[in-house]
Amino acid sequence: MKYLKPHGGLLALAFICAVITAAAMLFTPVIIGDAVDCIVGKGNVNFGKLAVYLCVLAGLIAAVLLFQWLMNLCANRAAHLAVADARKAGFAAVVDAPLSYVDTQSPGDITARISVDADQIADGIVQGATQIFTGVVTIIGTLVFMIRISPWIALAVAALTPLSLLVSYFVARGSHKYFTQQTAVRGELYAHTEETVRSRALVSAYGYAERAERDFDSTNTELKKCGFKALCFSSLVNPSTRLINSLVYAVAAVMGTVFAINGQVTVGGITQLLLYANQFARPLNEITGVITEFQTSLAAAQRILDLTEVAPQNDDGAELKSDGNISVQGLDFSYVQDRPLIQDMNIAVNKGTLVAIVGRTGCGKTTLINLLMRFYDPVSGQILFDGTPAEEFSRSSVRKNFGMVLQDSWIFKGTVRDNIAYGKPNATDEEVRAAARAADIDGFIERLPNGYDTVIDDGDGISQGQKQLINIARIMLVDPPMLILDEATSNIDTRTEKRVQAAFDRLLRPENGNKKTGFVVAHRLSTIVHADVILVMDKGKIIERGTHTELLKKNGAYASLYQAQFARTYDTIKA
Amino acid sequence: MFKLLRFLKGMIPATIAAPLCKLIEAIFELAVPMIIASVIDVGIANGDKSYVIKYCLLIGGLAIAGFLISVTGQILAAKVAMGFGTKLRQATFKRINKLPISTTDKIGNASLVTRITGDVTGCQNAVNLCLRLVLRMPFVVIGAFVMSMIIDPILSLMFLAMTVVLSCTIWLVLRLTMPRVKRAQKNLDEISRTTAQSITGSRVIRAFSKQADTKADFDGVADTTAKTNIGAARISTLLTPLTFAVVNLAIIAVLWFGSVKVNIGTLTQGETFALINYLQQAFFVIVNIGNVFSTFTRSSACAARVNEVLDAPEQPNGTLTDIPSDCDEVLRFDGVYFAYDGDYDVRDVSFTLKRGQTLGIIGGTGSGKSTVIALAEKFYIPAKGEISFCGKPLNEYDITAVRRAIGYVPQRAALLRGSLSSNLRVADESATDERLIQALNVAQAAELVQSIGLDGVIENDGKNLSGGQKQRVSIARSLCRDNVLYLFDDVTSALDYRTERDFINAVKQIDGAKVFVSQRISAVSGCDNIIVLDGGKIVGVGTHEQLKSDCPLYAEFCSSQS
Repeated sequence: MKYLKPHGGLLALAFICAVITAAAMLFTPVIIGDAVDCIVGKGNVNFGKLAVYLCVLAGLIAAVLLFQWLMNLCANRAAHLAVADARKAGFAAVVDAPLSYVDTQSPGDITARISVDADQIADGIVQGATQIFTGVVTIIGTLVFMIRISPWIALAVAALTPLSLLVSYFVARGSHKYFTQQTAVRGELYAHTEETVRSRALVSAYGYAERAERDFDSTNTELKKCGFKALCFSSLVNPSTRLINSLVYAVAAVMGTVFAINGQVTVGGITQLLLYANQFARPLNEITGVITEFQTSLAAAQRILDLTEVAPQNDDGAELKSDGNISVQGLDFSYVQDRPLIQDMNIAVNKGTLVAIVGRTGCGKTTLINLLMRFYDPVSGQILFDGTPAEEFSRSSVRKNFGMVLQDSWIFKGTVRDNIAYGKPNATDEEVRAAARAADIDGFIERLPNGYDTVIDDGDGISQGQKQLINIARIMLVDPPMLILDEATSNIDTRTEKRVQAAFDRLLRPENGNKKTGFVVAHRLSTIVHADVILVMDKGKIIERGTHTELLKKNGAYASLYQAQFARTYDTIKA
Repeated sequence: MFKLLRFLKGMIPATIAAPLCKLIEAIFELAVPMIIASVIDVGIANGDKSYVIKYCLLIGGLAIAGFLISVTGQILAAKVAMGFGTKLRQATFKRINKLPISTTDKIGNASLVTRITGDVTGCQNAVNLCLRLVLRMPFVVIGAFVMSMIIDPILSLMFLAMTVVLSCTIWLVLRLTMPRVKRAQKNLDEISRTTAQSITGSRVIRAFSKQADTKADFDGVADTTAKTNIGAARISTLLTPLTFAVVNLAIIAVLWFGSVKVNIGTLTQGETFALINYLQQAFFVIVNIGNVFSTFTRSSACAARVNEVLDAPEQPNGTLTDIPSDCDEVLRFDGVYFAYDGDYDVRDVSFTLKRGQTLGIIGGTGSGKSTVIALAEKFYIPAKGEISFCGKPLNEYDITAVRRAIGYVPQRAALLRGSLSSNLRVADESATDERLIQALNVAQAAELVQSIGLDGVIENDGKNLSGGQKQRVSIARSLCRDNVLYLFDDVTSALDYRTERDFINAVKQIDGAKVFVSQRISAVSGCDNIIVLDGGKIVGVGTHEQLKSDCPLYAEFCSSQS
């Protein structure tokens, strides 16, 4: 709700408009009643007075038209501006949050909070501001007017109010219960359907359809039962409102006419009373309806507020301009307590060294990369850049010293040029082209409909391999002193892989002879045989280190990994 | 929508009774203003208290009776609508299971799910709304009009004018709002897209320290969305005040012209009052028409999508249910061509696979490897050429019988919610625990049994397992029953080389012919026969050694992977 504060003025304006609207709406029946009083019978019509009343009525209509519209405009404006602020804050929190937060959240859930949930808040604010304001004013106003006409009738109508509230409460509670149940069953049905549809190749291959249909039928029948109850309850709302309305109407009519016969009220008075009685239950029911909606939007607001409360990661420290010397000392790390992932790791890497990291899945290779990039902080031990602990440098400056290519390439919606110049937005056209040429993607880009100005998106039209090459061009352009390649070719078919591999080599060992410090994580051992040092990891520890030839000679874990990869070849050679 | 009415079968009495109940309620409602008019004109004029009380009791009685009948109508409508929805949902679900994969692929997973869930619910809501309002709405409007005609034919013209103006106003406002609402919807999609993109790219954004720029981009999108929404509201919020204005203008007119008539003596005070009342009754209904109309437009779109599924042709099927056990050739492709869309994706593919032998298929992405497997499973039907299974054309078989004899493992491991054992028993409901363990051992998944056990929970899509674990469970499933043929479609891509080798060695001990599809030389090099595919065509056939020297593409694969 703190996002509404700056728009308090608008809300106040909306409230004033609501009061005027409600008052004008309340006066309408009064005037109509007075007008009816002018038309008593044959030859007994007060045309002068009637004309005045009708003019007033027209004025009231104009007032309602203007102020109701204004009220809605103010409320909508305040709501949408507040929601935009909440969205920005939520998004900023996600972008600034430590990766340890982002990695543990479901992307769909965060997206839903920022998009759909936020929209719900807007609905809640608008409904709340307009309906509740006018509803309350209308109810109070109605009572006041009725008291003015006849206190006794007003009292009787007011006495019937709790009945109306009770009924709407009962209906709302009942339908809420069954609607929750229905939502749960529907969710179950959705999950089952989604699963069957997604796995339909499996379903047909194994003749699973009958069993799937059996499960579906039982959930479907359950949905029928609780859906029926939910529907029944919710369809009680209108008839019961009408019933209460009609009863109030009848009571008011009896009392009104009896009083009229006794001469305590006029016929016009009865007309007014009856119109009010008709109006009385409606805002009450609307308010109960709005309150449930308001609750959902409060829940939605809470979900987005939870996001904004995620503490941003600090970015303090000196600027790092690394020469490319890194040392890792006594490094320990775990994502979850009691399940250590990296234990007592020690590495010293000198400028220009190419380090390869191999090992089975889940041995901590990628974790090491996360620590080097300061995406995560070590539990104990430290990483030193040119002899100074990493914590003394700002995260952003540490990251600037690395060029990183991951298994999942990332393309954002934008032109090819923007995608390549991501790390250096002021790069000249020539620089962008040079980077693309160096990454061997220049030819492909030229063939796109609009060349470098073609808008690309994650997903359409370009293959994984081409995306990866664009990611490499991005790094080429920035030319950082250190490189990280984390299984960068494992999603690519073998023919494209060759080009990617060649591009990496140019990146790591540029023609000017200025070798870069590099870390390569790879599945395929063929890509790392030329590394200066190979680290073999297992369960978070380095179990072997050395060059390819040294390690093969050692005939240990590396040798067995290497042989496994080429075993088929050897078998057939032997045969 | 009308085509779907057949799903109302068996509920005809309720289908007719529901709107009738709503009709009776409307008649009661229409009677009330008339009674009040007579109370004012007779009761008050004559000072007859007992007359007044009698008629007011009548109003109360009508209200209660109306309530009871209305509730009955609502319950009947709810029953019919839910029954309709349940039947339609069931039929759609069953239908999708029967459709050929080529049809369902074209519609797409997300859309299929929406059709079974959202679209069917849309149709169900339309039925409910229709039963409740279809008779009531026109009746109230026409009834109110007729009643006003009875009171005063000329003043009722005012009534007609109001209805027309009101309808036009609603139509105009909706018409002007629609495109703006659509734009707002698009903006919301853009917000989702930008957010999702920033989450998938969270590492790259941080690596380049582009947080500030990313936020600025999003702020732009958020501001545009707010602006569009405010713009849409500017027009849509005119609706309520405008309709209020129209109705009250009509009341002014009735009062003025009515007063003239009352003065002459052709109309009474009570009748004027009743006229105003009818105007208001009709007003509430007309205001709702906009709502009803948009529900029906939406639901007719839903119905069209559901119908598309229900009307899609089933796959032609053969009758042969016995699979010959004496034939030496398990699988045979004879000049097979196939195209998903336009150009052929598989061209002139021929090969034979003998009982107990192994066949490797290797090729780059998009070379047609998986398509060949899908054709053997009869997920698709060849455009040209013939596929035979155990000596007889695939088309002559009842396809479920063939599939029961094939252990198919898809490229993307499909795991269902449940337990490890329930996932394995998809292949054979009666498989023993020993059999399951044995299958898991062959699939190199013994480690998984140790950590979670046979009853271990598997989440939707196997989210609690790693890619490699999922692949191994998926492989194990195919080994839980005896098959004539196994189709392994790139099932070792997430396994490391050592595990891959152990699996291939273990699975060789299992009876049955096997096809291994892969991008990796290591997965196919040990096969009796290897096919090299490129652009859907066979560019090399032979053993590993032969291909290494004869097939340049195969040699290229070898050199890039060693």
